[in-house]
Amino acid sequence: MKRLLAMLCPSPLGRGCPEGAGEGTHVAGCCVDFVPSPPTALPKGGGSKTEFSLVATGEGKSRLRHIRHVIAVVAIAFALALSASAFAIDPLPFRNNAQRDRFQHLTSELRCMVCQDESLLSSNADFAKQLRRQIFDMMQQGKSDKEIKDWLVARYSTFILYDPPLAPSTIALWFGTPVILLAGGVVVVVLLRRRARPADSIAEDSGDDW
Amino acid sequence: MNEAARKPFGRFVPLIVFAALVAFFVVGLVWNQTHDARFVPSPLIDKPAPTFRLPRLEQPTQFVTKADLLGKPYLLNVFASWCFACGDEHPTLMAYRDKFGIPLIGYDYKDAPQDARAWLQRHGDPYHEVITDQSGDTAINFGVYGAPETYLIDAKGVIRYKHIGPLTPEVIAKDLEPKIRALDGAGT
Repeated sequence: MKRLLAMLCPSPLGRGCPEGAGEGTHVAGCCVDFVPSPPTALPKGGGSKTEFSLVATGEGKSRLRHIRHVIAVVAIAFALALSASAFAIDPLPFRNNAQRDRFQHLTSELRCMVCQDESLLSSNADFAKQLRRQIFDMMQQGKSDKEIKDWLVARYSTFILYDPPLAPSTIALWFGTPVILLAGGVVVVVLLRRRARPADSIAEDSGDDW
Repeated sequence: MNEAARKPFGRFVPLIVFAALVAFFVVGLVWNQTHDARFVPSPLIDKPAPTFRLPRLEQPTQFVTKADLLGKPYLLNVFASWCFACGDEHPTLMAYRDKFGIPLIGYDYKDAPQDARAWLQRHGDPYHEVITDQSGDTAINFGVYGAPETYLIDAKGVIRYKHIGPLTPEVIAKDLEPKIRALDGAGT
């Protein structure tokens, strides 16, 4: 039981943040503020399956009490999970579903500068919440996605975009993979044609070169 | 006559390709060790600082605007009482406040004014002036995404330099002081 509860209550700062260093501070690896463990972690810890089967054979009241505890823990876990998801979604008053979809698509393409591996849509950081609010307000003012992105890039550089623009510094990023793939293809074609050629003597070609 | 014998070089192609891959990985590893991906260059360098109008920490009814600060260069240091790294930076600011030759202005970021006042009282106040941005909305225009961050703004209100993360004596000697010296009329 204790083990179960310990699993449900991770340290509130998470990921070993030094005391006082919340998100939004320039200390490495301090992003997540509060993420309760997911309810899927539950069945492993308490061995609830065996407890259920014991009760079914009528082995006494303490077992019944035990099962009640398990149910309570499950309920707490779900409540925690629900409150966590409610925490992540801002109550933004969208006009309609189309606008909400547009908002979610736009923010999923933007990087949370504090938690750089998370999008603005999924991040729980204070910074992301504030920018989501700003983007929402700009959408209400009728700004286009491009205008909003330009506004953000002017402040936070193109780093905020998950989809990097074509620029001298990103040429390797855009064309590196196709170029390498093409080079590999050329090598393969050359090798295959060389092998397919009626060789001077096929028997002598051991074929272990590659 | 087999192929390898005809082209002895061909035997080494896999080795060369492998060596090239290893070289890529080593460069990547070293790069990651020596560069912090969190330090994003600001697009605002050499651009006019955004206009702002923010209350003073000590007299919240009085406001400081960008126009008030024009005419002489200054340093704008984003800090907060909740910010762990700002505590690391603080002794450096105390030691250098009079050596910069230009005013050091504190920018209290997303912080309760009473917390900031208590923090400055406890650790000492290195700032010539402190302005507060409780909502953090103005900070977005500056491209702030955490604290501490430090901006060098010249007499015309143009951002000349930005440092993300705590200022250290090394950073000041290597980056900041040359930038201050390069300004026209700095320290006068």
